[in-house]
Amino acid sequence: MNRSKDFNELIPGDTTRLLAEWRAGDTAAFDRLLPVVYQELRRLASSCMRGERRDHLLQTTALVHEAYLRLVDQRDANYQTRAHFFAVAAQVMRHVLVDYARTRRRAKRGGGVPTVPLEDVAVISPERAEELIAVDAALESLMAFDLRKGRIFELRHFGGLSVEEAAQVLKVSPATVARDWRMAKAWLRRAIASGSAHAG
Amino acid sequence: MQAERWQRLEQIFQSALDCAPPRRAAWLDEACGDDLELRCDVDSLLAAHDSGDRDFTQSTAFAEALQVLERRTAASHEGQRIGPYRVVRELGRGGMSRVYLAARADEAFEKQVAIKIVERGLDTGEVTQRFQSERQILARLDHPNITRILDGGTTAEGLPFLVMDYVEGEPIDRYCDAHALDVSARLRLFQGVCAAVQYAHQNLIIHRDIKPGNVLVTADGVPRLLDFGIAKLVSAAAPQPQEVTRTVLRRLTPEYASPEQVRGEVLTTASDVYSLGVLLYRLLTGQSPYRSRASSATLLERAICEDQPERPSVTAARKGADGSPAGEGTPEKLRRRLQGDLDNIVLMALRKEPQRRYASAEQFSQDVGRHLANLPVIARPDTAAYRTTKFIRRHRTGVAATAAIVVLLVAGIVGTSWQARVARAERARAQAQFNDVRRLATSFLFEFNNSIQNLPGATPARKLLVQRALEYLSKLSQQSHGDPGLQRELAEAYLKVGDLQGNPYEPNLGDAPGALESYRKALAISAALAHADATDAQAQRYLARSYQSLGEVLPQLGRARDAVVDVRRATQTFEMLVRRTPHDRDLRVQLADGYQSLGDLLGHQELQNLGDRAGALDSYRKALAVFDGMAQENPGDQRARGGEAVLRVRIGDMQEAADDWGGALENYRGALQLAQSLAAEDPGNDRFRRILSLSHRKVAEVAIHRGELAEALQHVRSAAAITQALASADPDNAQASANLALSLTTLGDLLNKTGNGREALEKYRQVVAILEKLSAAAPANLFTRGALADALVATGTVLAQQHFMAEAKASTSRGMAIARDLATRSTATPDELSRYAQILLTCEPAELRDAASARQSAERAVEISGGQDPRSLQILAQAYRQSGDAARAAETEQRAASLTSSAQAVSAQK
Repeated sequence: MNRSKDFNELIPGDTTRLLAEWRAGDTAAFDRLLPVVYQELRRLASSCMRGERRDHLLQTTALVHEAYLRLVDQRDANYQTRAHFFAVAAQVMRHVLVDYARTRRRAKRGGGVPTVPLEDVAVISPERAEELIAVDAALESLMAFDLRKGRIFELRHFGGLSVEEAAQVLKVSPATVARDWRMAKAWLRRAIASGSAHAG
Repeated sequence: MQAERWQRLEQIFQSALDCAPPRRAAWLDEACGDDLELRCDVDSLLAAHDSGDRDFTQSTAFAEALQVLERRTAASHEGQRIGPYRVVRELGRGGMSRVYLAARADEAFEKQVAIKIVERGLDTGEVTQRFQSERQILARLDHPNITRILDGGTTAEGLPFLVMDYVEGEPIDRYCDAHALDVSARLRLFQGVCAAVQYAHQNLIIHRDIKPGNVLVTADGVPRLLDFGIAKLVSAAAPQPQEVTRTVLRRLTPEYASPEQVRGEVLTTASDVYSLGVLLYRLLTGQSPYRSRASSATLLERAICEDQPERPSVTAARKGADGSPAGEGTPEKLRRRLQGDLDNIVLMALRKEPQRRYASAEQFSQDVGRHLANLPVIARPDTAAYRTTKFIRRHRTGVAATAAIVVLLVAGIVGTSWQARVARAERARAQAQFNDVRRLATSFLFEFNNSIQNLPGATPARKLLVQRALEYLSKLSQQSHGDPGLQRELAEAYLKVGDLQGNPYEPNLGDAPGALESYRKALAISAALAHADATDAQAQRYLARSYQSLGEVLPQLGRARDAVVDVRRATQTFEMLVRRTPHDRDLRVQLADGYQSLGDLLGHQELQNLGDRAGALDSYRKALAVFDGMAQENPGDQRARGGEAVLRVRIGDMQEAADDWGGALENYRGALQLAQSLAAEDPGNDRFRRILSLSHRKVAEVAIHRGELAEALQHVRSAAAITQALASADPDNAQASANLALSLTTLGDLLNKTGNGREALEKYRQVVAILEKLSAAAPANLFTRGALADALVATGTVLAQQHFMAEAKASTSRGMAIARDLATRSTATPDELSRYAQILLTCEPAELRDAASARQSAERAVEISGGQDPRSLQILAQAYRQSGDAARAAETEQRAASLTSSAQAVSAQK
């Protein structure tokens, strides 16, 4: 299997271990996982965009799955490992995107010399950037009093998972996922429309 | 929120959704009871749920995140050396590429350039080739308003790059505002932009991404266009998987995109015209045409495809409009300035249907120019170019193709199996196979075409063949360097495909621009071959044929003068070749064809021509002499006899136009005889039947003139029956339809003359329907339009005779409008001008006549034809008479008569 030349790559066994530790409740493990997964997704995204991949990306989760296969030693992994990996990936994606949205917002408002070259064609429009930032904030609020719904939204919206895949990740039934999803959406929509995240 | 409350809220929410909608309200009453706050909460959540899914909850976030990731990975190239340049700093970023400022490092002077690096690798040799050849095409653009492409290549990491002039300037919209330019100044600047676009279009390059960011104006007020065709070039570098591309790489703002661009359809020069229209809209009003939908890309795309843009004058007058042109004073003043002409000009460019916009950037610019000069702006509803033709000329008997290889080519198996060979080992083996197959396949291209050419009903097969052939030939071209044998085959192939696409002398698909492109390719290849080896007779032949083919299709696009130059080149070359090898029959036929084409261009009334009837006659006689010679040597030579028949008709036409009806009839009868024997010898042959139909029609024309209506009717009915049969057998065949239209027109004319007004009307209506259909199907061509104008006017006349005045007026007005369009082009031919004049003089209802305008048009016709064309002189005389200037009328009639009698003297020689 091809190995990336990145010198701060973790060997597969490390990733599995970190995932297990994180599952056991060790948040420090998550912090160490994040950059690794991020690197890997970035590398895959790049090769995907360069057209180096023969199988065209028809299912977004294929990319995450590939990252998973590369980072996690399959001999030690179980279905739970995979589930957690996907959760991490979704968080990475969310983080990446919202961060970008914030940068765009700064670039638009700020005067003076831009430290980042102006983008001729941004990935997202200014309206979308505002929207994402609002979604992110509302999502944080939601997770404060209903973690599972927040996670489901995060997995589906930022991680690109289907209802079935999210069900596997969270170890609940697809019907539960579907119900949580619809309520999460409604709540978030309302929160964003009203301009603030409802505390209550 | 308290856990308990949240749970209760959820419970009610979910249950409410689970129960049937009619029962929902009642259930909620029960569940919430007196707790208004709770009820409110639930209601608002349910409302949010019901509001539907077309908002942020669509799952594009993952795809967007992916793109962001990818952006972050592309390393900066600052400081890097690329070729002889050193990258100084990043200037900006695009969707798939970044632009850097760079300077030439290896010499004393430092020339600044811009380098655009595509952040994707090229994955196959094929793609690299395509990128290179596209780049070379773009590099040939040499125009003061276009930033030049200086160089290109691939970086060490394999990323393709382009080196361009570095232009320091402001985007045109900001420039206009910063310098407080008034409307006229903005229009003039805009004209400069159009000139650049026109130049590129003439070189068959579409910009695809015209927007203010790509039109920079330098400090000295010169507009420079950037990024010509680069969108295509860049996508050539990195073919994207379609589904991902559409969502992930969607444009940030499609504001300047045309409807066809938004829909992902094929782009044409008309798409650039549209974008220019949006640009002008913005320059004049400071806003975008679909302003109200600007917030969401999806909504904007829909607006572009479906909504009508607001009139610029209305938009500009709206209060609070930011960035509207200064120097005009109040919004109200601006509104008045824009109202009328400018509104219409802009809106015409913004039409949804490409063929209804300005035909070219130049036309657009000219209309703007007219407005600036206070001349009447010409409304141009369509690109106004249609064709009809009736003459077939070439006839090659071919060997029938074997079924297996026919299937191969048509199914494109040869092409796609080549594509499938990726691995090197396989590639070598495939190359060997490919060479063999290639020889077979290219010969197939011809045989296949030849054998179906003369069968009725073959047009859908031809369309598929053309498509496959072009893909296939393009691949072959890339392999052809240093291989003269292959290059010859390619030249031949491109000529053949061009014929199929749009040669008026062949059964074709009505795609004149496509044909033009194919012929240009053939010309380029032949020229290269001839240049490489001056003794290569075969190369000379291809060269001559390429010129000739170009000469045949250019009139369809309104470029009759250019066509004459090409055809003359062709005939000169053929003459030289025939002198060298006098017994080569093919060559002689080609020479005769060349003379015939030249004749048509110079003076044939039913095609785009230049009004030089004497020159045409001379040319036709030369052609006839060639065929005569061949037929005498070999009386069984069907090709020569067919050619003779057609030429006799041509010569007859010239005689008829010079009023020598006796001479004309003699030639027409000769043609009829020849055609009858040919059709009898080979009954399945479309071409002979067409010539037969034509001959009947022509004989009838003379009979009509002489008042022998019964005989005329007989011939015309024969002609119409044949063309009807041919058209029914091949409904997609534009040419067959056109021939039918002509036959029916003649029949209609005759029926009208013999007092069968009703039946005549029926025929005319049929003709109009056919011509409308032809117009719609093939909008880039210049001839059917004129025929449609005539047909509409003829219909109007008969309607008026039968006292349906309102309908008559409608039909005639419409025909008149079309004729006016054609006559008021800057490249209008004498016939088009005369036609318009004649309509203005003789149409019904008479209230639509306009002698003054007719006179103007007729004068111009006479001017362009150098006073040598009797017909335009006669019409001018009529115009003088109708405007009451009897003296001038008499004088002009004299001129016409003297030309006619000398022409008669000339034509009396045969």
